[in-house]
Amino acid sequence: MRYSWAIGTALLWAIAPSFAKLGLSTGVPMTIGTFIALAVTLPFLYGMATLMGNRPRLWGVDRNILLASLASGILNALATLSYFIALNLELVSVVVAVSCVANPLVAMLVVRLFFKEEKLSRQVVVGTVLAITGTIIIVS
Amino acid sequence: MDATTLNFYSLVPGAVMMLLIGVVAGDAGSLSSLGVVGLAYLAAAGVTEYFLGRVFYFVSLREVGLARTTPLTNLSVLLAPVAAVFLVREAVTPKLAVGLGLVFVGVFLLTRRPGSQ
Repeated sequence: MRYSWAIGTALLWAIAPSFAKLGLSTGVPMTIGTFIALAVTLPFLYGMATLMGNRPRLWGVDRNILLASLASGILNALATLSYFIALNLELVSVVVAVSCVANPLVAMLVVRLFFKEEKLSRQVVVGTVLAITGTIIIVS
Repeated sequence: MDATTLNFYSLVPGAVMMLLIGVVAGDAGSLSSLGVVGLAYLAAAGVTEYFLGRVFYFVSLREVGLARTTPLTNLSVLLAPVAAVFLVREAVTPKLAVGLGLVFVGVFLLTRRPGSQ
């Protein structure tokens, strides 16, 4: 039961790209499609945060939080835009697989660049080789 | 500040920026002629990915921790093609299935912390 939340997450994140592809196939421009996908979520998040007693404020928010939100929001929107463009060009399975591989690989690269003391374990090396091999098979 | 509030704060500038890019690119006119079906699918994509998916993810982090949550959420690599078969009529070829299997095992190993069960 405790694991059902993680499995539910996987299920939701697996369905979302197909919905996006179906939406984009109606001829909606990528920028507007991305805007809709992001904007529609805002009332839900606002409601959820309010229910949890943390109603988002428009003024008086800590400057560091605002700057971090601005940076992550812009990067997240650009990532969603490129994800939608990829979905419009390729199969859902291919896009999901490539993005799923790129995420931990880039994170690992960043960790290696900025935290040099962290060593690569055999598990990580084997995982990297398998993930890259799988990606090559998929996109070839 | 909790994750949902932070998520809200980060999505606001992203949505605004996308609208501005859409306006500059001359795409904003399509908003008035947007069909209900397209709008519904895109809204469903946003809500499942950025609202429900993240809420489930954060609850899972609280319940079982990052070490168990991350590898399990990677099941989406295997579930997405299944969803695509039913929703967008995509075919899963043997080559794609082999590649997806390798990607799943590889990403599982990459995201699994040593010592986690």
